Amino acid sequence: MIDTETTTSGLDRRAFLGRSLGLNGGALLDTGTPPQATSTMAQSTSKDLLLYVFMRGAADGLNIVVPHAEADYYTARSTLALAQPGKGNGSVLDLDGFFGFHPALVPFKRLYDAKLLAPVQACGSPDPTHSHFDGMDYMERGMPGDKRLATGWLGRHLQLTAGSNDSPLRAVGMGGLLQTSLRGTNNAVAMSSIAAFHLGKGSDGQVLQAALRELYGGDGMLNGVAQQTFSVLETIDQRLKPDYQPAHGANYPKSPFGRSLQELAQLAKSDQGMEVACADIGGWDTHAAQGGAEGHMATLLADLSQGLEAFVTDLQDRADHVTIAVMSEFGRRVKENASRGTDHGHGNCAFVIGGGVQGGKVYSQWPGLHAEQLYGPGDLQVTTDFRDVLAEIVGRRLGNTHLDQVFPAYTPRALNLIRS
Amino acid sequence: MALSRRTFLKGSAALLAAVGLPAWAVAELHAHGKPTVLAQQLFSRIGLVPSDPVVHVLNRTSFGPTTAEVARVRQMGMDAYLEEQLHPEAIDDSAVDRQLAQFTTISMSSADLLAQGQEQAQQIVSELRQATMLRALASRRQLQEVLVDFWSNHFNVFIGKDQCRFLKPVDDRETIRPHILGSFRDLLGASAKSPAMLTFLDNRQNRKQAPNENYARELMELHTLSVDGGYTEADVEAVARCFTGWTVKDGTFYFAPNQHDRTAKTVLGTTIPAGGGIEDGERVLDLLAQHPHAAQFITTKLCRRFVADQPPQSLVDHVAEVFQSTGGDLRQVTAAILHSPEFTASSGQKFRRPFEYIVAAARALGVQTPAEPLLQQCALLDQAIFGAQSPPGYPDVAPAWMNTAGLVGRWRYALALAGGKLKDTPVDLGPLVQGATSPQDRAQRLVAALLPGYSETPLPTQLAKLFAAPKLSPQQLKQRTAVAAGLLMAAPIFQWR
Repeated sequence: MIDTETTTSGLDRRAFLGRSLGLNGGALLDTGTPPQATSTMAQSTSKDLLLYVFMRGAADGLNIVVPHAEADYYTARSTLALAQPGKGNGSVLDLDGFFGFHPALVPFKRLYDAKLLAPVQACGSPDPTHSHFDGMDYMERGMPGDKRLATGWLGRHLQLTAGSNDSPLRAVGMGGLLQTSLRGTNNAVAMSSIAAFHLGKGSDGQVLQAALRELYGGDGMLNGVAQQTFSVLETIDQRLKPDYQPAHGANYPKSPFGRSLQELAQLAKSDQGMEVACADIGGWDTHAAQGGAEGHMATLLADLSQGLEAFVTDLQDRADHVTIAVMSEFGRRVKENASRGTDHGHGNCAFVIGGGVQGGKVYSQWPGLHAEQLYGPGDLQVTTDFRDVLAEIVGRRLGNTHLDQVFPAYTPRALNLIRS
Repeated sequence: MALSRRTFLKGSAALLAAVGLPAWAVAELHAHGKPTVLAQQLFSRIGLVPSDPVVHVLNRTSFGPTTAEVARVRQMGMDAYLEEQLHPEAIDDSAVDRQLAQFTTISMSSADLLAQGQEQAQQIVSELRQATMLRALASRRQLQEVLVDFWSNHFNVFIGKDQCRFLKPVDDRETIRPHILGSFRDLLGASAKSPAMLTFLDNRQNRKQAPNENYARELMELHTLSVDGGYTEADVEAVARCFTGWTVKDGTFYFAPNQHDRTAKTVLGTTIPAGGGIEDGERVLDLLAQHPHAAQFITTKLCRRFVADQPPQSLVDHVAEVFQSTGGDLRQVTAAILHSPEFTASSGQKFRRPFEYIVAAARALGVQTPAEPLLQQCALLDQAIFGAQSPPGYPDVAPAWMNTAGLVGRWRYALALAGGKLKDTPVDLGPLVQGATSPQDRAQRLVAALLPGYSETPLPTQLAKLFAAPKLSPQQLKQRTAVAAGLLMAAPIFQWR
């Protein structure tokens, strides 16, 4: 039992790693060796690296952080409900006697037990939209119900704290379309893959770059992004070692999400000043056949949790300086529909992971699932604004005190899920 | 289970070998000078995209101008060209049709497609994508292909979801293509009954006991009224009930009366009386297709595609009026945009999306087949054909695509394509520079061919240097021509249309 460990994050982390390494098999020579945290910590900046993961499509939070002690949950979901803890195959992994994880979240349960992971339930945006596009847009811009501000919350954070770090890799969004949350800073990098940031070996690449620099040398609309592209090309060419091997037996899933995370870990460990990273995992719009303990959503949850556990494991040497937040635009309807799926809802779960997290506890003002407790057409209420979660990370882990500018017109409530 | 993006990208990682440059160029180009002011202005400023009206019209109504097409349109005149393109059924496209004959699945019925079984799913998806790419590359009905791309995106179906792999070829052939210049109501109705759409937005599982709202919501948010179109959650519920029982049987549309909710509904303030059957859904489609918000939304999106990311409201209002007064006649709507002064004045304001960029470069170089390497490039640049997983489809505004990943991906593609390094895609630049009297002349001809409208402008220093050496062997000349062609297509102006 993890309870016998001390409560400092270092020991918890060690306990976690001991476990996960054991589970990953015996191939590792250093099983049981304490992580070399202190030597590398001195080299790190005082700010955390923040990874913001977006589950695109509105993940069904009620089947992720399951209120297994609620009878109404089982009434509303005759085919999709996950069995109570200990009630056979596919039952939920109990957390606190009331909530439990979907059985595919075994890696998250390990992080939770190591007190590195905090689930937040009945979290989300106060805006009632059921539109994916608007829901993501409001959340990523940190401005629910307000379309006036074009910048993203991470973009504003980066602008407010610009100055000390002029690294071309300060903010990286994995994928070909830059995440809306990163809008508003002029140096966020969209990256499909590290390998694609390459124009040719050695002097070939330099010659082509010289020609491209001339072509893009004027004052056109593409000049800024082109200069940024040149900087990233140079940094990757000169500073990144090829043939990256994950550390400590980190085992990334062979999925686009797993690959994104592995590349972000590689960038983080190259110490090129990456402060903020974004990664996406899609496929959560489960109107039909979403599956229960197995099936479509279980596969996604395995990918999500294995990927993030690998990321934490890979970066364990700097675990005290990595924070991860996981969110989705909104949750899904409490009652399942006739196609063994769920329609768009409201309140949802979120996750915060990292050495600075007071994990091992579910953070929730649980609103209940009785008919009179539901929101709109039959949705879980939002009792924790997503900005409360993010603001605490920004304020306590990223060293930014201008919360009123990161989340304008909003006064965040302290959740104390982040150590102060 | 949805196909992962990884599946689409499978095999493409190794496709692009590092863009090599022969050693000859290295020493020479390392000692580079300052670019000329003219070159800077020419190659980096959006405002300098040619005001040549023929090039402009071809930039917008086709997947990219070619030397031959520019000459043809100059000859026949722009009005005649637009008239021709607005009546694609009268254009002989037999050369492309003959090429498409190799793709047997694109003409199969949905029953036959479903009978192919899972092991053929990839083949079916691949053939439809190849056909789409070949048509974009080579069809003489270019406006039709541009419109097919637009409407396929508007009524987006992610081809990787469940049976969509088998049903999208029928959606392409019977829902989208016959209606792009017809009535919007017909197109909307065809989409509502398209087995692919019924699968993608789950309406095939929309039953009276517990309605599935997916299609109902997107029908209003994305297909007709827009997210700010004034409908309520109650409207979503009511519309979902109107479409209960609209399902798929044996791969074709089927109305299941016993799954239909026959109680009364109120949609957008209109009462749909109890006792109705399939006509409930038809009534909703009528209401939506005639709604002023739909006219505004549809025409805004069309103007965004053909004119500018933020099209002038004057234009949108005018075109919406045409939409309303013609009962949603899409030929007249499209014509109204293409004949508008706002369209004429909008040269160079649209950033090419990856699909448009990839095809424009291939067309400029005269690349014909095969389509597969170009499809892989689309996927690498995050615009796999029929690959948008979320209902809104791909964004159609520059900021969405204008980022580091996009630029470096485009550069790699342009250099690889022109260098003949794209797998199975030989390129012959000979015709583009035929008759050149000197290396410098060769370079100018390349500019004229790839960037029509710029033939009189001096080359940027770096490109001029490629041809400045006193003595170049034929092989050197060929290599340098390829590098120069790649750089011209990697240049800023080639990113705009």
